[in-house]
Amino acid sequence: MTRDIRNIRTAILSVALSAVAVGLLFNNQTPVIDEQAILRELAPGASFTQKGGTPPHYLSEGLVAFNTHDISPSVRGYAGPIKTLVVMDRQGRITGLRIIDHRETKNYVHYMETPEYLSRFIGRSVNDPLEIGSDIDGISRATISVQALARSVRESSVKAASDLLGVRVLRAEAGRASEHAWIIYTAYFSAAFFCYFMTRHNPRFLYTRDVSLVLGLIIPGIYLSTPFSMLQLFNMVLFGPSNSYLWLALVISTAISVLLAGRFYCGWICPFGALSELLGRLPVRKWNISSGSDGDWRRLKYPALGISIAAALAGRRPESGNYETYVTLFSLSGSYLSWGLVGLTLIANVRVRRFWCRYLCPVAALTGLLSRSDNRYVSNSQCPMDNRPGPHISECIRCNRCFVRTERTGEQNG
Amino acid sequence: MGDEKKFRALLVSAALLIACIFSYNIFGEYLRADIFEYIKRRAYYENVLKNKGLDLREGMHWRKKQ
Ligand code: SF4
Repeated sequence: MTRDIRNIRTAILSVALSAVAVGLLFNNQTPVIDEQAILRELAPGASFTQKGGTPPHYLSEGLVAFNTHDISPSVRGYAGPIKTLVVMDRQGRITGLRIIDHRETKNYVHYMETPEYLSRFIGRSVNDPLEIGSDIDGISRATISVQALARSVRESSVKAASDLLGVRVLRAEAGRASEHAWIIYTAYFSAAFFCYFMTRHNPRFLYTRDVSLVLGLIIPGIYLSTPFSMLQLFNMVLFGPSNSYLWLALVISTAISVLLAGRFYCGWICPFGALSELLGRLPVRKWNISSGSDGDWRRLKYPALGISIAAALAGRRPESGNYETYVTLFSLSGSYLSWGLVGLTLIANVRVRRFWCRYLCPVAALTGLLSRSDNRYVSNSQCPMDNRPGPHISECIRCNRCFVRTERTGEQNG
Repeated sequence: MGDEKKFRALLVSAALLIACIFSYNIFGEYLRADIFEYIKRRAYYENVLKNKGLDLREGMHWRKKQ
């Protein structure tokens, strides 16, 4: 098995590198956007000059227009800048805006792009907070993206108003108050990680994992709607890291946990894993699956991961590689096919414990491949993954029920 | 059907669904665009060309010429 895993690791790495190369060679064009045409729609009747000046802008009688990305290029959402064309009157009041380009995940941002949502910015002045949760409504399933949108509009409007229109901006530094999501997530993650280590020392604390599973369902699942997913990695490889604190918290905490505790994320944090495990605890007879067939089918998640990586990176489009059920479920958005997969895998958990995590999940495959071996995980009859005795570490989600504390007593948890 | 068979059927269905999701992700946009184009052509045929007694193929030729 160890040798197999090593080969799979090499194969996945080769797929990723080749896909990046193919993407760079064949799919690397940036779309050309006719900003003047969009301005004609945003301010009918106005005739704008060519773009020019510092910061770059368009002028018309009584109006100034600019692309937020030209003024605040460092503000990034989930997958890069959210380029927005803003039209402002001479008093520094927004009269029109449209998102003209972004690479955010459609599942999360489809509402953010609608005129209905963007109308919340219309009529706001540069002296307004322009802050999510204050004068602009958030979108619960697109926290990172809407915060980036608001921040880029706020920062570029203030700069344009003061530099181009000479408007005195009275508002002090804003936009920090609403960015508390990352603090909640980091606090939850750290507490769960602490409990993970406690349970290794003392099985009395095993109940804390159940608490963590329920909180995982509530915090990254329902409240933040941002479980860790391959999309975050694809976005990072293709377009660089986001500067959202929540994004950084998600990616950094997961990376650290993989290094220190393998698939800890799967066993303690993942909201879909939590839901699957809770469904698996229903008192329904489980199917009797032979060890050979179970072992063979568990490898299915690796080709699925490989295809997902190839599709996302070669096409330079993260969504092409997305089949992740937690993205569909917690963003409440996806095709009928994706919803079909969510339904099927959730129902399957009733008969086969952690069905999705064992056979299909790309995050499970990736974190499993990166787990460091630890032979103190021996498995037992209570294993939530139905692992056979002496499992490979890539299949262990670190529930710690079978952890053997060899250094002191040689006894087993659970 | 034994547990093993049901389990295999479940996994094969999930794998097929995933294959369809990948195809939809990659080709969905093109397919959707083609379908909309076809509906537009069809609507033009039904509303304009059919009334002139032309079939879809002749109509297209006639339209291009026009
Ligand atoms: S092998 Fe042990 S620690 Fe790992 S998931 Fe199974 S019971 Fe939990």
